[in-house]
Amino acid sequence: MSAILNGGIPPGLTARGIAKSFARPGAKPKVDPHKVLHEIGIEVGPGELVAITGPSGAGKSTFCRILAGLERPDAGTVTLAGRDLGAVPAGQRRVALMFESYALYPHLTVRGNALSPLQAPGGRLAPAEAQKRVDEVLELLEIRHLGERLPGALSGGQKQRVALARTLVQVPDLFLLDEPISHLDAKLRHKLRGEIRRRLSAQSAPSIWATPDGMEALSVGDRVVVLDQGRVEQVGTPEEIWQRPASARVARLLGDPPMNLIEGTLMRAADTLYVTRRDMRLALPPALAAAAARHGTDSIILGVRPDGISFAPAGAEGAVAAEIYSNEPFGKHAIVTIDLGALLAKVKTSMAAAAALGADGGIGRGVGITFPAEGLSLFDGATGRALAGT
Amino acid sequence: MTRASDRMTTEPAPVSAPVLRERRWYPYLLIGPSMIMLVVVSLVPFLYAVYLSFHAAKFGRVTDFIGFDNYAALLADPRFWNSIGVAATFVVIAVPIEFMLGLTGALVLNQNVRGRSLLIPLLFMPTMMAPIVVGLLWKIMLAGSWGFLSYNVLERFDILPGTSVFASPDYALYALIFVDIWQWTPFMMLAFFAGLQALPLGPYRAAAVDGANPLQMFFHITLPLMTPLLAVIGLLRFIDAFKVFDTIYILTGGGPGISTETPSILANKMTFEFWNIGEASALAVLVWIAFFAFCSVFYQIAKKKLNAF
Repeated sequence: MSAILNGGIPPGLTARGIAKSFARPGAKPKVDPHKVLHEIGIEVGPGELVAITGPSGAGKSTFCRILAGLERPDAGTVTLAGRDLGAVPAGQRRVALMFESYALYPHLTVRGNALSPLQAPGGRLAPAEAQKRVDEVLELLEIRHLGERLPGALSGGQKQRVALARTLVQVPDLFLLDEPISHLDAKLRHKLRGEIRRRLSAQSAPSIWATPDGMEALSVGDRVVVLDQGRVEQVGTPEEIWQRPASARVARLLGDPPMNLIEGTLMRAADTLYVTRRDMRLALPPALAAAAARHGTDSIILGVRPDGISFAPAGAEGAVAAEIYSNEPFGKHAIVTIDLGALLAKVKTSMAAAAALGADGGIGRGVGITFPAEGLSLFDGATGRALAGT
Repeated sequence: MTRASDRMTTEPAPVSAPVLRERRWYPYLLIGPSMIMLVVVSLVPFLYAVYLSFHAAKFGRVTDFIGFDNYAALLADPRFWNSIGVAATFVVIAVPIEFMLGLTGALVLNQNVRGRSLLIPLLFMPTMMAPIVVGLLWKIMLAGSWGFLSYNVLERFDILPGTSVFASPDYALYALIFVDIWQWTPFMMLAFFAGLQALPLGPYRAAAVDGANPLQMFFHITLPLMTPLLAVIGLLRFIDAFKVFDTIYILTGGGPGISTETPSILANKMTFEFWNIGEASALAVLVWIAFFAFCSVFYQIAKKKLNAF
């Protein structure tokens, strides 16, 4: 209904074909510019939280700055809440942007910083109401006791929470959070991830949460957009992205530790399809074998999650030979790094299994590993894209 | 166990108290040379001036201790009060104008104007010139009837015909103020410009997203963040302008009459024309006390209200 009333512009946020290049340092603009974003498109519905993740340099911050109006895109359109933002300056976009670099006002106290958007022309609020909202947010972020301090007297994590407070007090048309909790300690990060998500979801405005931490993106996003080198690698629900990463780049971002990616060659012997790499030879389960056969490429990347690999005695039937590189006990589980011959892979295993590898973690010892029948992924060795049907 | 005990023995022994005490002279050794220089160059002459101010000292002969007589004579001398008035007028007009022009210029310079890299060295010219040169330059520019500015501007528009501005008791001081503004505005501009360049960009971006206009950004971000620098530069220029000597000495020598006679010029005359060294010393000490008091108060206020220093 509202889409019709607004002349066909849907509510929420729609960005289409956003492209951006920067001149390389020292080079003339226009000559071989550094392309940061390649035609990024994204839609975020009202009240929806979309997490954007990708390695540093993927273009997350640039994209946020373009949406906020601090940077002009080379091409593309942005519409928000029924308005075309093309010619709208940053100050009139009604966007609450949390800066990755905090951008606090150094001469204002914590409270003054948190209050500032409510005193600004765009979001002015009656003083009593503003104070109440600031109190509530400072309380939520556990920085109310720091209210009268200046930013210079705060730690990095505290500054980040002030920047977060300044964003969360607002009732904008769009929330943009650029790495909102990256500098908090683990305990607070766990607590606030849920709290902030809850708060954002209760608002009618769409929200974007940019983070280099793939797991954080999966945990906060209603949907997740994976960016890499300025391109959208995959868009989907957290489940889809976790279960079926669209490419090796996506797989590399997700998991703790992330999926192991083993480059190999397909080889057929008798009726079985094998992935081979050096002297390793691994028979593919039928479903994967069928997909690989359909795809018709020899160069392949095998993806296996760290918790899928299990240990076997060295030289056991069907086991792949490896050498233990390091062994890190974490209490609840252990991460064992194994050397598959010029390739390190991580194995997530139980403390008991890790201890059984030998004294001093068994470092340097030969060991056998076996791969699971389920939960393997296959990617094209050349393009990195997931093989259809896997 | 053996490992642990090994580690115990290889740990360095805790530094004992005598060692610390022996090294107490060390910091003094390090600051010693500069302290000696400071005492010899600055403190000794100053204390000698204080000593002289309590003595009858005329024509180079220091005679009796006369207590506060020099001070009393000075405070009773209308010429002393005139010099204070001249310096106050000079400072109160020149420094605010230099400050405002400097800040405005710095803000313009900060807008990525074209040819900025060429403009900045040019702007430094007046400040780089020796004050004697500045004095001579303006003496020539404003010389009666044939001076470049006198001939082309003052004579042409019939302002002060037939005479040099420096010869008019009504205008000489304003001419000196004009020269001071010419000499020091660029310095203020560049100092403020450097301050503006060092401001963080983040707050401006945050304010832009919140919808602040340029004027609001200036008053709510630029001005508060620049306050410490503005206060320090303003104070320095204030003190410096009050003590101005060289350009006045060259351009008017304090005249006509005593119309441009600042305390610095008066002290110089008392010493080298009237040879009343005792009273000249009393003048120097009084000015010092006044500045010390002023700077202390300013420092306290700046520290509390402006977050400066």
